[in-house]
Amino acid sequence: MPIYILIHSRRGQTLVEALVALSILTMGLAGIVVLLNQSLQLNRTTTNDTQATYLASEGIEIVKNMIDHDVYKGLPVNDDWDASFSQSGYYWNIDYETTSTTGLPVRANQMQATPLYYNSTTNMFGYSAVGAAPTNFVRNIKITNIDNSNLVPVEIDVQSIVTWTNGGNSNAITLEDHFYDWHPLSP
Amino acid sequence: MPSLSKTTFMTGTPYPRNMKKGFTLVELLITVGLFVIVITIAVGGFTNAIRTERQVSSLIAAQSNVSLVLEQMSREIRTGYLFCHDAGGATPSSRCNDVNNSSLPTCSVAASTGVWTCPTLDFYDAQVNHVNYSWAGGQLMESVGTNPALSLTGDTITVKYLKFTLFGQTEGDNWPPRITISIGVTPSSTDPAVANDVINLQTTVSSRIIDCNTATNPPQC
Repeated sequence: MPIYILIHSRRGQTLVEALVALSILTMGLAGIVVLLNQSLQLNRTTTNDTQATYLASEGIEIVKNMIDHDVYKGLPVNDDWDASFSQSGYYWNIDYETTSTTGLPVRANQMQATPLYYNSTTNMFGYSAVGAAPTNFVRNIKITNIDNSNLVPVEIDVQSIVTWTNGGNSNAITLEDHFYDWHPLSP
Repeated sequence: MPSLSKTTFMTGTPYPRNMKKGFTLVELLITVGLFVIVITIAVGGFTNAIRTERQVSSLIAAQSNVSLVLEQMSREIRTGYLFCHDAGGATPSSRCNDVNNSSLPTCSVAASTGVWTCPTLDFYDAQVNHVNYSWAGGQLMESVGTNPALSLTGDTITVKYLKFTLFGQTEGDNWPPRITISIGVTPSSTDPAVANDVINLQTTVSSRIIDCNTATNPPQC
C-alpha cells in the first residue's frame, strides 16, 4: 500500500476519534450539570422533610398537652389521664386548635386521608379549610394503649405519622412517644 | 514549465503532500469550530453549575439555621412558664411584649376558639429569666432579662414572618400552655430563584410546667 494512502486513512480516523472524544466529554459534562440540578431538587425534598418533621413533632406535643390537661382537670378526685385517648388503634386528625377528641373524625385501624391545610394569611397549618389551601402533608396521630390488665391503660403509645408525595414519590416520617399516668391517685 | 516548489526534480509529478495541505485547513476549521462549540457548552454548564451550587448551599445554610433556632426556642418554651404575663401580673396580657418595649403590637384573639396570635412571645425560662422573642428587620430577636435583644438567626437567612399562637396560657384553666410557632424563612440571597422561596415551618410546644399559679404562695410553677 502506498505510504500516502496510509497517512490519509490514519488522518480520517483521527477526526472521527476526535468527534467521539468530544461527544464523550460533552456527555460527561452534561451528566455533571444534570447531577447539580438534581441536587437542587433534592434540597426541595429535604425542605419537605424539615417541614414534615416539625409538623409530626407538633402532633406529639398536642397529645402531651391534652393528656396533661386530662390529668389536671380530674385532680384531686378523679384520674382522667387517658380520657381523650382511651381507645386503642385509633387514628386522629388533631391540630393546634384541638382541645377535645369528642366529635372529631376518627378511623379505627386505618389512616385518614384528610390533608393539612395551609392558610397563607395567618400562616398556619391546620384542618380549617376556610381561606386555606390543602397541602401535600397528611398527618395521622395513631394511639395504641398498652397493658390493659388493670382496666386502665398505664401506657399510651403515640405515633405521629406525616405522609406526603414529592414528584411522584411517597414519603413518610413517623415520630413515636410513650406517655404514662404520671399522677395516679393514691390507693 | 512547472514551478520547482510543486514538482520533484526527478519526475515533475506533484507531491501528494499538496493535497494533504488543503485537507489540513478544512480539518483545522472543523476542529476549531467543534472546539468553540464544546467550550461554549462547557462554560455555560460550568456557570450554571456554580450558580446551582450557590443556591443549594444557601438553602442548606437557611435550613440548618432555622432548625437550630426552632430547637432552641422549643426547649426554652417547654421549660418556660407565665407566657404573656406582665411582670408580677396574675393574668396574661394581650400585650405580650417585652416589658422593656411597650411599642410592640398586641395579640389578636380569635373569638371562636379563644386562641391568641401574637407577633412576640414573652415568658420566664427555667432559670427565672424574663425571655422575649420578637421579629425585627428580617431577624428573630431574643432578649433575656434586661439585656438588649440579640439576633438568634444568622445573616444567612431572612425571617419573613414570625407568629406565636397561644392556648391555655391563663392561670387556673387546667391547661398546660400550648405555644405554636409559625416561622417563614428564605435564604439571604440576591438570586431571585431562592430569595423568593419561603420555607413555611410550624411546630407546637406544650410547656411541661402545667398551669403555673401565681395566686398561691409560693407560686406553683
